[in-house]
Amino acid sequence: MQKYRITLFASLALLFSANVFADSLTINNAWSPEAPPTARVMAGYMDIHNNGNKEILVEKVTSPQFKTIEIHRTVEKNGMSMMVWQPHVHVPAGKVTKLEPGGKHLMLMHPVKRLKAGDKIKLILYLSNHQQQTVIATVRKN
Amino acid sequence: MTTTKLSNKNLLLILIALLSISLGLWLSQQTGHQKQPPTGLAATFLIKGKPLTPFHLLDQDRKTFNLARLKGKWSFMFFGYTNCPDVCPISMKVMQGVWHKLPPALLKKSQMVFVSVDPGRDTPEILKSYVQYFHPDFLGVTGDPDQIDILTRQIGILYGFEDPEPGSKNYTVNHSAQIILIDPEGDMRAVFSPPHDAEKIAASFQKIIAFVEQT
Ligand SMILES: [Cu+2]
Repeated sequence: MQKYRITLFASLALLFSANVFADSLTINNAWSPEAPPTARVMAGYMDIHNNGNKEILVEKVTSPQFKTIEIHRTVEKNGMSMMVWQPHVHVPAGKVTKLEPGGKHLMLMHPVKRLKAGDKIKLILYLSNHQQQTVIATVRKN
Repeated sequence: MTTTKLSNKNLLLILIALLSISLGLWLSQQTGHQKQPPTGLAATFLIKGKPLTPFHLLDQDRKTFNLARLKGKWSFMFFGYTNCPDVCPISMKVMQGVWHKLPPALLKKSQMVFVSVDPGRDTPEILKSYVQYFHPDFLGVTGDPDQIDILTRQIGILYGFEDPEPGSKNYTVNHSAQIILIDPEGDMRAVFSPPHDAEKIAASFQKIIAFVEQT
């Protein structure tokens, strides 16, 4: 019985880690610019690397620290800068997709409490391969 | 005796002639320089400023902000809204950078004005804490949509509201991201288009001032 349990655990662990290595994202430089005290929205930026050989979409992002999170893209149209809602972030196989100022970004809306430089934001990314990935973003001055 | 006197007189004449030639040369150089508009600018520069027509807005202390408030200073103006998480903070950070790069003598005759095109949410109080987060000397201005439009239309700034979800205040505002420079006469002088770079804006601003002040 004991032996069986250990085997089950080991194979589960193997399955889990194999899954993680099979098609996962590596996320670097996750950060959010510190916002003015009155701000009810913040931006989230990061570099998303797809190490696998299949494209991955980030379909949804949540955080216990924000009421709503949307994926946006800032575009220049008719002489205006506008933010366009995006259904997902596309990360092609073997490529890096950057969420960056003036481009694609996470729109972090309605913080539960004000966040300052040095604070951490826990972001949960829901991926098209049915996995979830947790990312910790740092609030920075710049 | 007479010869000495004469040669003295000649010397004086020669001296006067030389002086007038150099004065003439100097003057022609000055006027020649005057006609040369600054080059290598990170901006669209208006050699002849475009006078603005009157508007009436409120600053962050609910004091009148009109054409008179633009006179006597160089004003940078940026239009946006405080719930803008991406474009506006980027531009405000750039303006903060410009402020750190300008010499104190120049800062004394300059002002930075953030105009909110979203008076429905941006009260003067909210604007105050917003602009002062970036720099204690920055001004936040807003007002009646009609009055905002009088200003934005004449300087070519566009904006529009995205439909909010019903009952939600979560709408976004599309807006031009140009930084406008107004001269101390209250005339529009330059347009800085994005992407903005603090160093280039500060350098261009100094060239523009040097040109305008000697005209
Ligand atoms: Cu956005």
